[in-house]
Amino acid sequence: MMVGVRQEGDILWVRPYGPRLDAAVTPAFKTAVSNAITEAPRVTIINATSLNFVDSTGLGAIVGVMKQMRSDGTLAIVGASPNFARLLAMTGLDQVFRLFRDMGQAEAALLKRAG
Amino acid sequence: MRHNMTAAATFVDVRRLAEAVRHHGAALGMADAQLFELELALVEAANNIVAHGDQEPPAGAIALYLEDPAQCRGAVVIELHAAGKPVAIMLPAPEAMPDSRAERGRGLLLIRACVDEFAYERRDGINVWRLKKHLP
Repeated sequence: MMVGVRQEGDILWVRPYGPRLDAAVTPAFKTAVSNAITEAPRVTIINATSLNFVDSTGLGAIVGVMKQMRSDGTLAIVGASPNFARLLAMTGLDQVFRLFRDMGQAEAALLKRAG
Repeated sequence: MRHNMTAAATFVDVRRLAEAVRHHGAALGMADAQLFELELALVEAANNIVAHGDQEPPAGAIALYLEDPAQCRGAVVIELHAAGKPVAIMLPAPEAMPDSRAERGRGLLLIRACVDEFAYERRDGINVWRLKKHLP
């Protein structure tokens, strides 16, 4: 799996390229994100628009990203498909992550405070 | 039951099983949300087999069986058969979803949430995972 990861200050952008975040690709996803983090992010924005299937392993990988953030940080998921959003609701993680329809909405809500 | 396919017990090959089950459900008229739940349950069960498949004896392969829809009375019934050690299934209560910082431990609960019946048994020295989901 290709994963685009970019950190600017305390903001981390993550973009998996591919339709699935499952057990076959989570090791690569975790490595790509961990290698790119230079300091604990305050905001992480995951662009999920390409994902149409996420399993519990992929979900665990996203939780792993959250655990590398500052304790007062915000992890946002952008463009979650209906099925991904349903998975987040089933696991209660929709109450932990912030969900946004598109990048513009997420950046407007989260980056204006980043300074 | 009809033997549909056999895949290697690897996380990559779990995708082949998922694809087969998705096609099966779609052919029976399942809507997208139901197909997702069926696929997710199948993937979580197969992942469990793979995750424990490196123990002796190894799982080696996963055989997918699909019950003839005409025999299922309005349900999709799937079985996964794999060799390997017996699995100790400790099904937590449905409300016992792990803490939000847990990176593991949601798979079995998701299976339970996504299908109407879920059973594991040891049959003739083989691990058998059985999933049943009612059609709308």
